[in-house]
Formats: sequence, structure tokens, C-alpha cells
Amino acid sequence: MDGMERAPELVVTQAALQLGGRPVLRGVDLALQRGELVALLGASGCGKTTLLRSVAGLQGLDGGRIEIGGQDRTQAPPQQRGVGVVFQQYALFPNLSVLENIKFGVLCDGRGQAEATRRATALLDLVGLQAHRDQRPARLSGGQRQRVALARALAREPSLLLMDEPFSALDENFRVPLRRSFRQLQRQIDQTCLIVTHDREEAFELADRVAVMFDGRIAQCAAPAELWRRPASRQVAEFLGAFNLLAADVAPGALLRGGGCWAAPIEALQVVEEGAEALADPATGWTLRARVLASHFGQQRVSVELRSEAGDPLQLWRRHDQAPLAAGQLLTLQVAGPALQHLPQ
Amino acid sequence: MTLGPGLAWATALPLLLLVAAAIGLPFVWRGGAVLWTCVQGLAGGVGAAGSCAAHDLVSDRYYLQALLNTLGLSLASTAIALVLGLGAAIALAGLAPLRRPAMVLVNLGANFAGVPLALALTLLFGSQGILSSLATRVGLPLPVDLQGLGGLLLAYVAFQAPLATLMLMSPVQMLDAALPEAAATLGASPHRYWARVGLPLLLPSLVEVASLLFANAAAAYATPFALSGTAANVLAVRIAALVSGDIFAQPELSSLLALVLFALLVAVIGGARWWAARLRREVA
Amino acid sequence: MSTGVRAGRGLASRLALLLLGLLVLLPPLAVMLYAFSERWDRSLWPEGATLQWLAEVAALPRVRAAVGQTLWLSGVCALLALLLGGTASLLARLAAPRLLALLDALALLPYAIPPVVVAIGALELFVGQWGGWLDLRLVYVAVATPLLFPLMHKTLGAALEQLDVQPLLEAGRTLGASDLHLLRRVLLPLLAPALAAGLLLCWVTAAMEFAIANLLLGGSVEMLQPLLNGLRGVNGHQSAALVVMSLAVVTALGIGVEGWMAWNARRNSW
Repeated sequence: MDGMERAPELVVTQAALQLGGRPVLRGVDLALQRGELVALLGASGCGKTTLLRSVAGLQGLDGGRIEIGGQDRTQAPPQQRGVGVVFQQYALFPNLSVLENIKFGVLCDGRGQAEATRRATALLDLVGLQAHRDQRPARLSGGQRQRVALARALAREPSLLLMDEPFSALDENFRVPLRRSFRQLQRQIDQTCLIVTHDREEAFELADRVAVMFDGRIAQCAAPAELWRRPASRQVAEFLGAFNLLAADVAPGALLRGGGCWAAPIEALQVVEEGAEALADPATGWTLRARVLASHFGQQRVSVELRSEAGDPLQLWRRHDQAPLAAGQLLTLQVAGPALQHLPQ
Repeated sequence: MTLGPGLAWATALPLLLLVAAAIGLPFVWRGGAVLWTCVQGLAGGVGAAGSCAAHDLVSDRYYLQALLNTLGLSLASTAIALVLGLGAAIALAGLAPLRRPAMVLVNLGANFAGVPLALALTLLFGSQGILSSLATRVGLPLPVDLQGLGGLLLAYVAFQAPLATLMLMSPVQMLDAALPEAAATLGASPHRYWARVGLPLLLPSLVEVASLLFANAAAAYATPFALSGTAANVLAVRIAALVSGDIFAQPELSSLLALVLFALLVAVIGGARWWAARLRREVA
Repeated sequence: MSTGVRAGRGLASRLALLLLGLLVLLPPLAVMLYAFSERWDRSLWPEGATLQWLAEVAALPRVRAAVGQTLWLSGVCALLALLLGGTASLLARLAAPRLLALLDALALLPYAIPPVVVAIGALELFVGQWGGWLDLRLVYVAVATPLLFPLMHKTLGAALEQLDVQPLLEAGRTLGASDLHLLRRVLLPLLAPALAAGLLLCWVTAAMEFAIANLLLGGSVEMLQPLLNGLRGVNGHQSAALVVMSLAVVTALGIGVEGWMAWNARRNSW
């Protein structure tokens, strides 16, 4: 590791924007290193797509700075920002063939037909669409169009690749294999990438870091592992949907707090069998009683809805081969100490 | 009573009969009569050929000139109106709040054709017109002669351009808004986008709209008549003047000219539809 | 400062819009100034704002007669276009694709056989040959109505596309309703605004028509547009005033209809 840090590929500083009187971006800060893939994750209306479009130059900002490749591009038009964009519906040019679509950006740079064809052919190989080079986009499947959009965006060798919900228009069966092959490709060519998505699974599988956005602000930007273990706030924990939240003012013993809640990953909630050993360490763990409301048989596991005596809604995960739990049944449950994390809200 | 084809055809019968009787019958009767005379003339030798109206058409340069004038005016006004209309439709597509009042005005413009337009143009460009007087005061002679083809062209453009705008609003709005954005992120200037993507995608609609504009201009009667009476030498005015004008009537020649006009319009509209369909297939 | 992409709406398109604006606004403006001024022959500007021309022309018995005749005859044409053409168009779109293809072709007919040709043809055949026992006004209505068909056809087409009635019909049928019932209680109420808009549009178009009004009815019944033309030679100011009045009505109707359609579209969608 050399002592000098490389300048980040993208730096967004205090991006602010109001649209129609409503604040859409409230001072967003974000930095991406070269080769990093960051996912902007949030519900609809949180501003993630607007942020992406601002970085692309398709949307102006009221305040803040955008630096791409070390240069201030806040006022620059999209043509001059050195970004490649993959749109949600791909926006392929219907009247041009696959090859011509991919060549489009290279020709705009004035690099000549031969160079453009060479570059486009290389990309066709990369995404595996050589066989379709002369077809029109209308004749391709959704997954094929997505790959053409990707190849087209990469043709100019952009320093930054921006993708707006790139997999959401695809059939469910294709989403997972396509995004995994995309991740491989991205790593292979060391492409810096910012992806907007509302799909938690997708964000966590793809990204080096996930930026969770609410209401125009980034609540937490961290590696997926970090998010699972240490959500920064109750809002993030609720959004991730992978935690049980227990009110801290009714906690036992050392866990009692004036306010806020204790968050624990759902897997950490275990059923204490009748007559079985209690917690290994009763000092830091939490044993509680809850009533079963309903069991939901999902594809991967059984999700059991419970309500604790203190009134907290809880989720318990069980395998399909475990004995089913009847509605109304009262259970004793426990959470180990290390799994608990206090959140102030 | 079910909503089926039987009911539909039965309901349509009065309309079909009306069209056949009111439009089809006179046209076929007159056109057929003229064609029959000409065909007989061709078969019967020199003597009979004289009664075929085509003889008058070809020998008198006046009627050929009318045809040429109609062609020229229709082509020119269509071309100008298409350019103006496309530009205006594109500009309006981006100015959402302005759209409703703009559409009202554009509708007005399209409806203003005929006598009102002739009145307005006389006020502006007539011999005592405001713009004419202004021009003489400034010292620049106004290039528009209301009684000549220049004036007619101006008048045609005045009602063709709003019509073109109206007809192009919907195809322009249907263009995917993400396409120019994608082009921009790929480094394309707006000019390049339009040349390589926008215009090619609009071409089928442009072709169809152009054919309708052409037909509209070729068929225009009120505007040239209101401007110059029967002196306006376009096909539409000639067709009418040959039957109900001041000089003695030549109904056969009128029918022949109507047939020529019909053939021209069918060729233009049919050709345009075929071409547009082909263009659309290429994109699919 | 915003740097958003404006889809290539650069200088050229705005220039086109400006030119269009001039073309559209200058003529009516000139006519309006002429209609409301006492005189305009001495200098570059009109002199003497007045309503006298409007009052005079509104009082002329010739004008009143022409307006009355025009409203009546064009109204009959529009109604006939609705009853004959509108119903055929609706049923064809709902249930008979082959008929629809025929009607689409029929809607192109007025572009190939324009009003002037139709008028002269009618003059020759129905007046020249059979003039004795056919009332001219009947001929006028018979001949003008088919020319209104494209308007009705297109208006209905646009409305049906927007409303997407097939699922409604299917739902109604599975609920046990007869087609007649569906027509009366679902379709026609939903389509009423579009049908009314089509009717008004046809009425206005027929009233503003010149060729047939002049050539067919020229000698016997004076209609509005030929009257306007004739009046130009007698008293230009009065002619201009009449133009302003008729166009004000047409524009007001247009705005009203468009507003009503928009209001209805909002009401029927979610």
C-alpha cells in the first residue's frame, strides 16, 4: 500500500435540491473510491433516483458540489462528465442496431468508425451478445436489452457507471443470475459504480457499501456486514426488516434504559424448549415471553408473528421441518447478549 | 341484442348508403362519363378525340399551370409548415404550463382559414395594408404580392403551420423522454441526437402528417377564392369555376380536373401510408 | 444553477414556436383591430375605438338570416354525423374489426374527394339533372355530412382509447348484464362527453365551411361564410366585426369542450 491515498472517483458534498417546494435532497454527502460499487437503497420518494440523476448531470442542484475523477463537475452538462448511465427502462435507441447503439457514445467523442466498431465488438464479447449485433432492440429479451444498455454505457470507458434500478424490469428468474454475472464483470474491469435500488437483497448482494437513504438524507453508508451488525438508527433497522426491536424501558436488569430500543437480528431470537437450559449468560441476555399470532410459510423458512408481553411485535424464523406453532400459544424466547444493540430512538 | 358484427354493420348501413349516394354517385357518374368519352375518343380516331376534355387540358396552358401551381403551393406550404410545426411541437412539449393556452391558439389558427384569413391578409399585405405601408415608409419593398403566388403561399402557410403543430404534438410527446437523456450521457449534442435518433423515430409520423397537409393544401378552395376570386389559378378554383363561374361552363373539363386531383391525392396519401408502414416495420 | 437536459429543445425550436405564434396571432389581431376601430385608412394605427360595427352587423337582417340558416343546417349535419357516423364508428370499434377497416378508409375519403369536388358533383347531378324535385338544403345536408365523418371517427377513437372499455364490457357480461343494458348504463354515459365534443366540433366545422355553402347554396340560401366574403366588398369593418364574433364563439366553444373533456377524464380515472 503506498502512503498516498488515491483521490476518490466520486465526491458529492452537501447536495441540496428542492422540487415543487418540497426538499428532495437535504445535504447529501457521499464518496466512492475507484473500483467500488455502492448501492443507494431506499423506499420510493426518498430521493435516491434524484441523487443519481444529479450526479449524471440530468438534474441540477440548488446547492452542493459534485466532483468526478477529481474535477468539479457541478455545472457541467452530462456530455462532459465522463459518466455512463444505465436507465431503468434501458432507453435503447429503437432505430439503431445493437452494434450501432453501443458505438453511439464512442462516435460522439469523434473517435472514428473503426475505433468505435473495435471497442463495441470488445464489449459485445464482454456481455456475450455477439450473435445479436445487427438486431434491433425490439427483437431482444429484457435481459439482453439490459446487457446492451450496460455495454453502451461502458463503451466510452467512463470513470463512473450509474445505474437506475437496472434489474427491476427483469423477470424474477433472471434477476439473480444477471446481477451476479454483472458483479463479476464489474470486479473484472474494476469499474466504479453507483446503483440505485429499492430491493434490499439486490443491494446487499452487489454492493461493497450500501447507502441507506430516507427522506433526502443518507442515514448510514457502510458495508453490508456492518449494516447487519450495527444499524445506525431505529429507522435503518426497521427498513432493513431483519431485526426485532424491543423497548428498552421494560428490559430486564442491566439492559434497562430510559428510552430507545434494543435491536437484535431475527435469527438471534430462539425458542426456549420446555425444561431446557436457560441462557448461558443471564446477565447480558434477555429472556421474554410472547404469544404466537400467526405462522407464515415462506419459500425459505417459516416466519412466525408474535407479540411480547410488553407489547412489542416480534418475528421468529423457524425451519419447515420444525414442529409448527399454533396461534395463541405462549412461548418463552431468549436473545443472547452479544446480539443486542441499543438504538437511541 | 348482442354487441356483435351484425349489429355494427346494420348500424353502419345508413352511413354507407349516404356516402355512396352523396359522394360516390356524383363522382363516379361524372368521372366515369369523362373517362368513357376519352376512351371512346382514343378508340374512335381523330374526329371523336376532340370531344374528350383531355384535349382542352393539354392544349390550353392555363389548366396545366393550375395543376403546376397546386403542386407547387402544396409542396412548398407543406414543407414550410412541417418545419415550423415540428419545431413548435418540440418547443411546446417542453413547456408544459404553456401547452393548454398554446393549443387553444393553435386551434384558432387552424380554423382561421378561408375568408377570415383572406380578410386579415388583405388588411396586412393588401395594397393599402399596414405592413405594405410600413414597408414603403421604411423603403423596403414588401416581397409579398397578395394577388400572386407569393401571397397564396403565405396564406397557405398561415393555416398549414398550426395544423402541422396540432398533428405533430402527439407523436412528439410519445417520444421516450429517456432517449435524449441517454444520448446526452453518451456525449451527444442535441443536434446529434435529433439527427441520429429523434428525427428517424419521428419519420413515419412526419410522412403521414406531410401527406395530410399536402391534401389539405391541394384541396383548399376558400382561401384562394377569397383572396383572388376565380383569378386564383389552382385546381380547386378551376374545378369550381368551370361549372359555376362567369365564363361559359365546361363541365367535362371540370370533371377531368377533379379526377386528376383525386388521382394525385390518392397517390400521395396512399404512398405516404405505405412508406410510413414500412418505416415502422424497420424499427420493430 | 440548473443544468438539466432539455431534450434538444434549443434555439431552433423556440424560433419555430415564435414564428408560429406570429402566424397565428397577427391575422386575428389585425381583424380585431379593424373590427373595433372607426377607420384605419389614414395612418399606421387604427383610429377611434368603437363597437358600432358589431352593433350594426348584429342588427342586419341579412346577417341574422344567414346566421340562423347556418346554425340550423350545420346543426342538422352535425347531428346526422353523430347518429349515423358516431354510432357506426362506436360499434365498429367495439365489435367489428372489418367494418372498422372500412370506416378508417371512409375517413380518408374527404381528403381524396375534397369539399369543392363534392359540391360541384352535387351541383351537376342533384341540381343540374334532378334539380326539379330535390330541395337544395336537403342536398346540402346529404353532401356535407359524410365530410364530417372523419372528425367524429377520430374523436371517438381517441376517447375509446383513453377509456379502455373492453375490460368493462367483459366484467359487465360476467356479472350477467345484457349488452343492451351495458350500452345504456355504462358505455353511453362514459362516452357522452366525447360524443358531445364530437358533435360540437362537427357543428363548428360545418358552420365554417365555405366551398359547399358557396357553390351549392350560393344562389338560394345565404350562409355565413359566403356572406362574410360578400360583406368584405360592401363594408370591411362590418365583415371584420362578424368574423370576430363568430370566431369568439368558436374559440369559446373550443375551450369549453376541451375543459369539459379534461374534467371528465380526471373524474373517470384514478
